[in-house]
Amino acid sequence: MIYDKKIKKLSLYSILGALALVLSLFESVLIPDLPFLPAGAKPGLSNIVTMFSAFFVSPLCAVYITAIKVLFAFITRGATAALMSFFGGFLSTAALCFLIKLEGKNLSFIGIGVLCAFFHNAGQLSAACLISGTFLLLNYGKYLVIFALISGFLTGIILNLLKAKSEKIFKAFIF
Amino acid sequence: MIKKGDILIISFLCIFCALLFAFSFIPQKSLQAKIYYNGEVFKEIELSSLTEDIFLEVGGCTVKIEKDGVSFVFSTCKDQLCVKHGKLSKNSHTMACVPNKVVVCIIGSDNENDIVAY
Repeated sequence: MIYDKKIKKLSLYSILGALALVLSLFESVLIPDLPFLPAGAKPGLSNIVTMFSAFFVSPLCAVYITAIKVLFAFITRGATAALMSFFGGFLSTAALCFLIKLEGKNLSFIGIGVLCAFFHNAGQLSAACLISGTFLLLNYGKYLVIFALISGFLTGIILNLLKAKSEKIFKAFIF
Repeated sequence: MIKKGDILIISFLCIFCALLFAFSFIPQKSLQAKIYYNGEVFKEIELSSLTEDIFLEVGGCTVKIEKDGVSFVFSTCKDQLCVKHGKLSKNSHTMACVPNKVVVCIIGSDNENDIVAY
């Protein structure tokens, strides 16, 4: 019976981790390269899972999920992708763990989502600059800011809906 | 649903973004293509001085340089983002093949201004 809580925690983290991986795989396979999107930009669906776990489970869970995502990027897409995923993922998760405490009267998930997306892109861009050895790539940043605004906004709306509709149900399931 | 803090964050980022765009829209008389490999300048070419297309092989990538722009036409990398991106033709347009460490950038070279400035 002592292990009951541990097992619950393990299975919950595994389910959330798997969900994040499936969502990032889904977006990289199914979303076409539209000409008006900046190259390599993705909607960041798995960020919904990271934000969900940071808020409903624990910030540590969000860190675990980010680590799983980095490992997955390394296995499926190689070292460059893993390094970019690492920089982006951990910068945005750090921002997330800090911001999630401020959620409430003046700040909703929309603002948090936008900032997380912004930090994710900033981290990835600085990783790209480090690897390629020039800071010229910062030119590319302006497109990424727009994209962060759109994708973060959508993530935020989805999480606001999740929170409003089913906070009690999730809390009951989780602990 | 949307709150004060959200609007503040979004408007701050919008202003930031508008500033970045404003800087890149400064018109330039002639354009220069710079190709970087491994963090160092590999080749600089004045686009208007070209008479025929150049195919440049650098670090596993083939870069095509034309009078009206520069594009990646081939790359050995996995994701092929650089090839899919298409042609760069305007001031400050930048594209990289990050796995191969090749960066292509278009920079305005306003020679007359340089003479005035120095």
